[in-house]
Amino acid sequence: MIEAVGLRKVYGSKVAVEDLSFTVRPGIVTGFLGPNGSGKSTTMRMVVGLDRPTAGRVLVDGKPFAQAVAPLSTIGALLDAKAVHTGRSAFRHLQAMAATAGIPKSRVEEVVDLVGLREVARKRAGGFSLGMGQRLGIASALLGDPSTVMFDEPVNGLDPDGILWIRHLMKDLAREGRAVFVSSHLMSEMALTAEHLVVIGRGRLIADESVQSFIDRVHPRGVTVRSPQVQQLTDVVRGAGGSITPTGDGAFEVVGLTAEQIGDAARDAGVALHELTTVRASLEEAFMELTAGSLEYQAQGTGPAVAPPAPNQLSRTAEEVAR
Amino acid sequence: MSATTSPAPVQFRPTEHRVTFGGLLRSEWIKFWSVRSVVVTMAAAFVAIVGFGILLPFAVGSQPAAERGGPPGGPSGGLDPTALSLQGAQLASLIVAALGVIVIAGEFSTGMVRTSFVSAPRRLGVLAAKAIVLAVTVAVVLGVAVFLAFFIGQAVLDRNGTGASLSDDGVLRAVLGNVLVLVGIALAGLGLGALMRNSAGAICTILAALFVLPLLLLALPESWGGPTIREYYFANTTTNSIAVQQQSEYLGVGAGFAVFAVWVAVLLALGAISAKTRDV
Repeated sequence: MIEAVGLRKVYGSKVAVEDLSFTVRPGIVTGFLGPNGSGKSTTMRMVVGLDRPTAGRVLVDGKPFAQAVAPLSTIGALLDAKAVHTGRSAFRHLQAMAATAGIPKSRVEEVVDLVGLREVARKRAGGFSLGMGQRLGIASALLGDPSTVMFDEPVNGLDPDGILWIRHLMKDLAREGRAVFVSSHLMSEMALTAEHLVVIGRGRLIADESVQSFIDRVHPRGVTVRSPQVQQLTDVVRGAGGSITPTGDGAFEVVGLTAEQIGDAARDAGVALHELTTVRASLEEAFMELTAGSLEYQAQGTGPAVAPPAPNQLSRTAEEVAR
Repeated sequence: MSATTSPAPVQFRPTEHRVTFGGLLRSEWIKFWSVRSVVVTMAAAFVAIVGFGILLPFAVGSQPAAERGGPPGGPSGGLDPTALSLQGAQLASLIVAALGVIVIAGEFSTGMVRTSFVSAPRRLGVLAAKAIVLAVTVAVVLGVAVFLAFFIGQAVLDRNGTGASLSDDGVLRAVLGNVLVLVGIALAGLGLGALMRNSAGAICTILAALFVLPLLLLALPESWGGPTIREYYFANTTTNSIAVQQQSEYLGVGAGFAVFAVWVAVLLALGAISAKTRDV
């Protein structure tokens, strides 16, 4: 369990995190969402005491992490930057970590197998791919069987199999009663794994609520309709008080009517419908809407509703493959 | 899509793996021997000490006594036979200075230090364990090298009857002095590495402190306190501690070691404060 109260972090003249308060509860996956550079990694470093808050405090299981008597069993952290000596093998790295708290060698073997690093465990970590590095980071995080797990951008560099694997892993960890705190700049990733969201932009809290209520904040935009009887459909919709525009691929977008109203009116008029879909705001859109203006590296003249940055699209493609 | 169940009623009970100082020592021991550059550096220091211990006595011993500048028949032609066989330790002191730097600065440059400080968030225990592992390893491994160099070197010199014996006045003290100075310089490197967090910068700094600055200090005039500064300066404090023949312009053995220890302690303390208080 993580409780942050009024966290503030200033680097020189730059405010990275400002008055940030949130709670990460056990038993669920809490997503930590924000654009790149919004202060997610800084916040996570403050949770484990690597960075000292300029103001405010953060407690892990009721205590500042620096006072934990069993740190590896309190929180397991995968941080964004590499935290491994490039000259040391994965196995020795884990062994050195385990030794600090007398964790037996059998547990080291266990996590090596769990993350699928058995074949390369004796090789120098410096030669690892990004994905293997992430797996080693996850093995390190799980080593002490911690009650709280904190992953910073865990799907970075993982292949589709790996992404699917880590999603299941996080849900399983939460189901075992652990607090799971995972950051991402990918809204779609959060939609698939998290139940609760902590959203930040420019270091400030934007939302701290369930995924569903976060999406609900943005109203449905319209209804997509397909019908072979184009003229009749247009008349029906206009007659019922809606506006209809073709979307270019043979479908129409209706605004001002609900799907139920359109369906009923079409039935009454004897118009066949081949599709009737409410267009919901995606988590992505909800996010863009709420964080508009808080994007750290927004391009000049880019409006809030403009498409998400390239990394999002890449990872969405990866996700589609994963599905 | 995300599950919509409320928080699971399961109460997670972790096995408490407590961090202990013994655990930190074991961890640092594993870390020390599992990085190739560290092992190679240790081996280089060992070879330097033993190698010079053999080569120099051979080179000097093969010259006629008259060419060595000393009175014929004098002890090794005016040279200190103990110091001669331990010349390699001077070179090794540069190597262990670098070793002390890389065992800590390497953690900062690779990011390993985050793992170390998340595993032991009080931080100072990590540094203390690192210092102990470094000190003990240097003392034991290079202690063996120093004694080996001494015995081989004296055996070579003894062919001319100019070798010294451990039981001679001040010889054992000088041999042990070399080992202690190596340990101290390695620890100074550790302190500086923790302070500067950058291998290249810290190594350059300590090498300059050990070899360049003493030369520059020679230019200090007496009116500026040159002799006193030279006496108390870090690299000069142990001049008499590592040799049998004493030089009056430098501190004596006891005082020299005491001042040297203060220098090392200050560097370690600065490194500790930096490690404890700065973000990583």
